[in-house]
Amino acid sequence: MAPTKTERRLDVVDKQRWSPLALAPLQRCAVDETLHDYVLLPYVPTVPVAGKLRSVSLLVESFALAGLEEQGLALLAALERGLGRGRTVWGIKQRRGELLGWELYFYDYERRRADLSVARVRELLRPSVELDAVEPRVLPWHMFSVEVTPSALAERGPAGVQLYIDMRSYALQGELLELRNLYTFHDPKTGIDEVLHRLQSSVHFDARRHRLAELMSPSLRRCHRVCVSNKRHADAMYFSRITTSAAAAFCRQHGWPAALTRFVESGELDHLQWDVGVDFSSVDGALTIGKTGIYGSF
Amino acid sequence: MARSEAAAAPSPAEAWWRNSFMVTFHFRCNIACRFCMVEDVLGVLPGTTLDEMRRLKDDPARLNGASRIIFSGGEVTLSRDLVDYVRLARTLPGIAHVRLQTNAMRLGDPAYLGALLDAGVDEFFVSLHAATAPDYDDLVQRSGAFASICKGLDALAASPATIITNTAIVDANYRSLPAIVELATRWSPQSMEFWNYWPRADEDGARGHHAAVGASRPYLLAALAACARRGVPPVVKWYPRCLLGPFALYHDDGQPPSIIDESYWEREPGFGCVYDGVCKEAERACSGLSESYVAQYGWEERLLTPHRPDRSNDRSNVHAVERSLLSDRGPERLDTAILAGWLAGLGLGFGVTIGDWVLADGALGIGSVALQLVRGTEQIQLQIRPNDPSRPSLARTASFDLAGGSSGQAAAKALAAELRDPGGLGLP
Repeated sequence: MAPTKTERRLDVVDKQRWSPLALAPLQRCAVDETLHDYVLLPYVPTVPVAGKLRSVSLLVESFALAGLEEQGLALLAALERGLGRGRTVWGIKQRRGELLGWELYFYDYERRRADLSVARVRELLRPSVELDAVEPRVLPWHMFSVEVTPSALAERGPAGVQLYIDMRSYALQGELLELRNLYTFHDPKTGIDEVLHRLQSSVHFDARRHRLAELMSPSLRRCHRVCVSNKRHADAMYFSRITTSAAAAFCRQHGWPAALTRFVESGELDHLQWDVGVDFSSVDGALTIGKTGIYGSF
Repeated sequence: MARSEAAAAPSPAEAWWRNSFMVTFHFRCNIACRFCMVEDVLGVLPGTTLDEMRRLKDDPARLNGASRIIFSGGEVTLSRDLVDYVRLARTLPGIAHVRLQTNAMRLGDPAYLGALLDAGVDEFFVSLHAATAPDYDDLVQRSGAFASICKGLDALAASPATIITNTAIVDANYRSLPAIVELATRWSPQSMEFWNYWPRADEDGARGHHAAVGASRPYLLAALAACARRGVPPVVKWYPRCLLGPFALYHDDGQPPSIIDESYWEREPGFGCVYDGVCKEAERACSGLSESYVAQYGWEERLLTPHRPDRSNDRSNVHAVERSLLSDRGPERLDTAILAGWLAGLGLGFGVTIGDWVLADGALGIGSVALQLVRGTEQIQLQIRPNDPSRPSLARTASFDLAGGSSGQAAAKALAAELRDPGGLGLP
């Protein structure tokens, strides 16, 4: 028996029973909610989102998992009060089940928004974390990020700042800038030659031994854009606007904390798209996955 | 295969799926192929009933102009109603052929085969997955299966019916592909099909049946060459077309429309090729690799060779990263950021309303700032300059002169009224 070929494929996801870790009610989408990907570009949901959970719910759950729900919610509230909704991208970072922390990303591609600056965000976040970062002069960033560890959030500790200028990022410590990462963005299909070129010229990817599929599964290849990054101690691939079932598979593949994986699998977030990233390096000749991240916006 | 063999090869077989319609029923089987694609639905799916099939007579448009009905299951020869299905198929408008997809094990019974032929079956699509009894019986987990199948094929070969063989390419049998061709020759098949493992319900490749294409390719090419030498056109499905070399013309992933329970499709395998965005075969002919295969062996990015439209396999399209160090708009962003910060100090910002105007844009100039204000389709430009009473201006604040064309007089006055200017300010 042979079936007719179609393009359709249902990702098989077990929708397990799930209940939130967070004590506070999770936020739900407004009727006119605009959804954004991790570069803060809007995307059109496939189903009406009014009343469904916002992607930030996963971030709140990760705060709760770390025992820092109250502190995390205070940080989010400060940003929403100061910048408004739809201005901030968030990322959760983990490695093999260990929650490493969070990163918040602030975009202004045209730099026409005077209300967004490192100094302003430093003030907004002052009750939660300490940003030791001062732009030495106005710099042509289109985005900057704040990296928050659990200990920093727990104890109002220091949070790192990175500035992103097109394909590059710089750590900003005090007034000192240090080159960190390089990024290129590609169409996952028509740009595959560029993606392979980037990988094959990576010091962390041995094209003779390592397989692209270890980094880019079929469900990740169905993303909107692929980003390849060169970092100091690893390289990375990022995949934007993947489905929730693909995000669930990503969580399972990379050993995300069970509480977060179950939430992604629960069906409560199926109306959303996600962005994910994976750091990789070659350890004893084997392609080794380090930090992985999931991104959303609020 | 040598190039001369390819040149002498037979023309491709008829793309039978184009004028066929498949009816599925009887999801039971008398063997248990280890790689069975319907293993999970055997004994589960109800199959198409005779009544459902009769409705095709009332709605012949569903046949989509087909001239062939194909019956498939399960193993349809186990159904007591098969003859009735065949007779019914022969009454459908435009149907010239009736084909069974079968393991042929029951066809060695002359009476039974005769009944099928009398009812109207004229084509048999016979599964032939190994070349020896031990291999076959192990693959289908049924002792004596090979002997029964050979007996059935012998009977078919002695009948006027058309034989087409079908061999699944799996890890357990790929080394036998040339020998299978040698074996099949004795039954004079009209064509021989080689279907790469269809991993339905094996999303992660966990069943372990995929044959790595790098390993199976030499055997498959040898089998195709053997077909060509014997004048038997082969058909290859779900195998990367770019790996078939001179036999690519025998690649055909097509399948006919079918009646099957909707639940069947829930675990249909996905297919794709890492190069399908740059390979001209991807749009028209080649499905690539199953996602299940990718889970087991990867994308085979080093083995596959996309056929780029420009025929240059030279990665010539490596040129267009979406950003570059040279195309970055950093300098413009910097100017805009400086201007936005300066405007904010004056209580202004891009997009703010000034009277009935909107501050739409601006630019840093030498000794001035240019602002663009819009009102509907109307646009005006105003220059903000340090105070200089000796020069004409449209309006003044404590620190600045607002200049522009006379049409901007009202807008300049409105802007001057909005500026928070305590005096002593400068340009950015």
